Amino acid sequence: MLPPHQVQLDLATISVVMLSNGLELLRPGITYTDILVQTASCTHRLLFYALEYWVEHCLIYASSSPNIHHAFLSDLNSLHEKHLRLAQLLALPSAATESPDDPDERLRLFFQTPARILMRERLLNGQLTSKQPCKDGKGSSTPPPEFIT
Amino acid sequence: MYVSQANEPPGMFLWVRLVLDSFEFVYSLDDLNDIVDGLPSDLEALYQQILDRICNVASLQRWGGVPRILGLICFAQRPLHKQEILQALAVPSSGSLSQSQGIPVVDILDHCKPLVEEQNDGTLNLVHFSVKE
Repeated sequence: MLPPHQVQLDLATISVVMLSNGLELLRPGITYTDILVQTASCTHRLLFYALEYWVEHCLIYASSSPNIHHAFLSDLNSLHEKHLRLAQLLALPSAATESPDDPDERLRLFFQTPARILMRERLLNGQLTSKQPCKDGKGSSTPPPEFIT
Repeated sequence: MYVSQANEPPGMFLWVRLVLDSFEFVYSLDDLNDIVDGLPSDLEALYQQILDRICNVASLQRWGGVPRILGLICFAQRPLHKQEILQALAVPSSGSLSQSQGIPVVDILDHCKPLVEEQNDGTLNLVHFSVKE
């Protein structure tokens, strides 16, 4: 059987790949038909899972492994660059800035990894949305789409 | 078999169930006799025997094999739907962004069946927490 840190690397990689593929749905100029075709072909079936848990898998992997796999860091960097390019194309205001206060101390394991900013923002948004009351009055653990990084 | 195990500890019910599940892929009396003759008496040894059998399915190696599927089920943060698992398998285990392969057919998950069960909502769970242990 596979060691746990190897499975966490697998889950983290899968999540990062899903997020990167999912960014295609936000590409400027994409048509409704394109989105419909991609959605119908189930190529984004795992996207909601990835949005919810990608940071957690990254952090569990990094804290359970003696060093972070080079190919995984490369995937993280690709995701960060793709996110950055898309944000510029869509002229989105970026709230992603460095700060000495991390919402999770395991983030230090990704020191000098640009995607760390995305992880940090995702964790902060998760904390923020968990404090927001739901319209139906029930608790919410899933952030609304506008808060998803 | 049910009768002979009736007075055994609780783990034995799971043992019986796993054995009966393994009979699903038996197609001859000789095969059945071979399996019955080689049955281990305790649950841990039975797990190992099942793992030895299902982990070496050659046709699954392209997608990481049964160990990968069991790993995803064991360590996911919530139960994964079978379609989600299939899509996860399309990402090579040592993969990168540019190497995604085709999504396998759902039958591929049947190889994990003795240790995994499908829920009504289509998610896959381990048949018992001891499988993870």
